[in-house]
Amino acid sequence: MIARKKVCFIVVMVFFCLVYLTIVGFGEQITAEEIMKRRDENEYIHSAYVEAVMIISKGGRKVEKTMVMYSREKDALVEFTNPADRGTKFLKRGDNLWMFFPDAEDIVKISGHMLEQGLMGSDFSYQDMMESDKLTELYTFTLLEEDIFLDRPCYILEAIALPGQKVSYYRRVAWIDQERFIGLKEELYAESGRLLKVSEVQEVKEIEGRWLPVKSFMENKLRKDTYTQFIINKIKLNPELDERMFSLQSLR
Amino acid sequence: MNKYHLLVGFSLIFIIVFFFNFLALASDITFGGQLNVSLTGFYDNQSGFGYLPQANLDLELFLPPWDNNEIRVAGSLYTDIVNGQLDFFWKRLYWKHRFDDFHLTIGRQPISWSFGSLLNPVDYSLGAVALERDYSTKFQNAIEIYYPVNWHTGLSLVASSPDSLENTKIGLRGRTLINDFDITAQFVQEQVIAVKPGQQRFGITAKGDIGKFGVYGALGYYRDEKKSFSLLVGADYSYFFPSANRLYLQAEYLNIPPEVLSQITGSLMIRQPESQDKNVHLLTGNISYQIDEFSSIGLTSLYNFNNGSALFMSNYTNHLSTITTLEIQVGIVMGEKNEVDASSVVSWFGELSQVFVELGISYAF
Repeated sequence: MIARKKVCFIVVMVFFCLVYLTIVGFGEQITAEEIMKRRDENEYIHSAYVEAVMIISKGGRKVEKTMVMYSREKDALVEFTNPADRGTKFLKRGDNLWMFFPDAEDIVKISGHMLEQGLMGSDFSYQDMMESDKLTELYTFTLLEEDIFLDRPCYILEAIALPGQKVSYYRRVAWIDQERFIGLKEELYAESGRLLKVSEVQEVKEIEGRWLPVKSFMENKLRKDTYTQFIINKIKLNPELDERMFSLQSLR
Repeated sequence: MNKYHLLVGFSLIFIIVFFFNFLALASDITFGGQLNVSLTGFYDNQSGFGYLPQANLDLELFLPPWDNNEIRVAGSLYTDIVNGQLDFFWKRLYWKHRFDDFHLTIGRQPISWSFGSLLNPVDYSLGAVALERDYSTKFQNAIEIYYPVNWHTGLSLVASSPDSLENTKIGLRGRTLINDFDITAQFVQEQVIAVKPGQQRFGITAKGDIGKFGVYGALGYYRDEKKSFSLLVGADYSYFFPSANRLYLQAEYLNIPPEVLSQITGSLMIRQPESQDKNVHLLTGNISYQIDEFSSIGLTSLYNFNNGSALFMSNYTNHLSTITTLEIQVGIVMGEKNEVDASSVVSWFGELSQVFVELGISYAF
């Protein structure tokens, strides 16, 4: 009788162990690629209309720039609206960038090397600001560990650029929210291994069923005491955009 | 009919035609501009030392567009450096309508065909002062029709009368993108309706990238009493220091008829009557260094190989706040090349003829 009870106890324990291992095992089975795919599904924006403010800080000094931005995949149109830069526009089509100078109403194609530089003196490059890429198409990923960041459980992933891909940063280390699949922090490295920039999300919002960062900052680690805060005041996903929006005529 | 009559005419047309629309849109109308105040100290070989306080107030009325219509109203109140009196000129007073197939712009408007060079030998208006420091000649009473062919290709037809109808000129410009190179082709006919039409200009420009370098060039053909050509080639490059500070370099070579150069730079690089048959060889350069997010320093230089005259202009810019910018400029103009003193900079660049230092503050609102 006692032996039968023991056997039953063991069977029940084995059953629960199997259930536990199945659940835990399932959780562990999510791969780095799947995490980034879900992150891309959440954060990749096909097209959007954005009203935002950029606050460039160094020490105690701050300069604010306001803008409206229309984006569609690799194309973007940005117009600055703050008094000092009012009317300055940028059009990005693929790898080509044009700038509209409002005083003389000139449209000038900007050299390609400028794409890596800070947009209007900020810590965001033109590519950081005006490009919405699916990272899964540009990088290969490795799941490093799990961590708590901003009170949220996160996956920490390492991304290395795929051979032949033109990317702004060779290596990225990203903190991805395990439930919302939104990137909360990212370290951006050069191929030499040097840490270039760190971006952190300060506020997220659920917009049209997706969790998106509405307040974040980019810190340039090559400089002392400097960072740029980017605050989205208004965003509309997948708006109806005229085909002519991303053309030279829209700059005029 | 002088320009003031034209301006009054345009003003009346705008007011009458769009009066009711203005009323409906009045609540969305905003006002903005920029106040620039500067003090320039200078030394000139002929007049000695002097100083010149200057101020100008750019004002613009921002009217919301409606039904593919846009009205721009902007003017500049400034101190005239000749007589020291306050003066005013309209920078913009135009109406633009975006038809389905083309855009029509009527009124006072900037006409500029810049393509990224420091000097533009094939611009619509060659009268712009060197290095784009003075935009005033770009603002003209004009009619422009812009016909977009696709997202990167378009045609512009311009007719303008800078001061009188007799000086009416026309321009045609086509623009497209070929292999990621921005290509333009343009034609200008000066004084179309005068008894003896003025100069004709044909120009082609290209701008793109070769590797990490931005490259550009222009070819100009000028037909007047004689025929002449100009050639411009240039490149730009960015270098990042380990501290992420950026050094921007731009250099260009310009081979240009002296009479065309004098239209671009005024007397700045033409210190004495040049041989009218000989093109001027000019080297222009620009270096700027970004100190931090708010400040930068730069040096622009021009060197005339024909007579040894040179211009050096350095500047320091600091964005003191979101709306206030400080700018300091130092300019040195060197005259004829001095063959005697071979031990100094003077032997290379000539005799010091003018120096100026300008301290300016601008306030945007």
